[in-house]
Amino acid sequence: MTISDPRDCRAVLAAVHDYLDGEAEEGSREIIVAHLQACPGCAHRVRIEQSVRALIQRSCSRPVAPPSLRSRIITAISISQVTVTRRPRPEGE
Amino acid sequence: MAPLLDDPVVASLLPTGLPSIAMETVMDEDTDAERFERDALPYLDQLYRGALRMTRNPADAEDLVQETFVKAFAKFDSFTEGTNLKAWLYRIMTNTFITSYRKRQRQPLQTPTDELADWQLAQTTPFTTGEMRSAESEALDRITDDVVIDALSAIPEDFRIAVYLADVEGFSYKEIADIMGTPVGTVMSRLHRGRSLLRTSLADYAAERGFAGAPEAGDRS
Repeated sequence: MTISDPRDCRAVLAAVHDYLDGEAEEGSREIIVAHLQACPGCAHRVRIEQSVRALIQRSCSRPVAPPSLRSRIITAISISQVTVTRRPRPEGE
Repeated sequence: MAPLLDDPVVASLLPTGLPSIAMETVMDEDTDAERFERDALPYLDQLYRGALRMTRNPADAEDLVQETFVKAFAKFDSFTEGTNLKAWLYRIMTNTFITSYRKRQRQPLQTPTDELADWQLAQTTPFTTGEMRSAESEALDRITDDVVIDALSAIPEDFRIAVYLADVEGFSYKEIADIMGTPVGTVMSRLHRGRSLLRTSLADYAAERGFAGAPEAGDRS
């Protein structure tokens, strides 16, 4: 998202999402960083935005898959493979 | 990792006394399975966590992940070596979820996401309302995982999947667009709206619980 006016909080904040997602447009990055250094209000809002993302990341970092699921998958794949392998066998077996 | 054919369950499925030609065929195919086990199965935990967030219950999540891996194995030939395998697996899983699991979810269907009523979004315009004191932003960090999961589960499905793929898996907008089969603009809008809803509900939770410490009632603008 292009920032029309580097001093306009709304314009900067609208581009902040892309910035936080690592998808800021060429040139936006420097404008956003400079604006956040000069504007405590915007900096605060961005901190909240970062906190929410960090919370989501943290809370979704578990659990691991149950061991039984792994065996189920390996078995299911093997069966599908055996089925495929056996298909070309001659009739009248 | 043991090859598939060493698995006792699989071994018991194989007829005894197979002609040697058939046996050779089996051995040839084994390399595919080994490659799949080596390359794709390490994503099991990640896909399972993603499936949990999609289906919102462990039983459906396990079924979804199993179906995903079986489908992925069946068309592993079509996967281009050197491209993003995790994104490829996620695309199969998301597509499977949308086309089949969504229909038989144990919870009632939700509001179709991209048509979310304006009043639902009115309060969540980014950064313009619910200005939080800095103590409240710090309080966010004290929210437990269970509360965050509940908040995530409560937002519309398409928003939830987009936010998950971006924030947890770190996929780019373009990758999420490929995975969800939507234009990049739709992905950005889903992310934007999903995060707004989450920010609002988590901030409200923190404020209600008084996580911010001594309340300064008149201080909220």
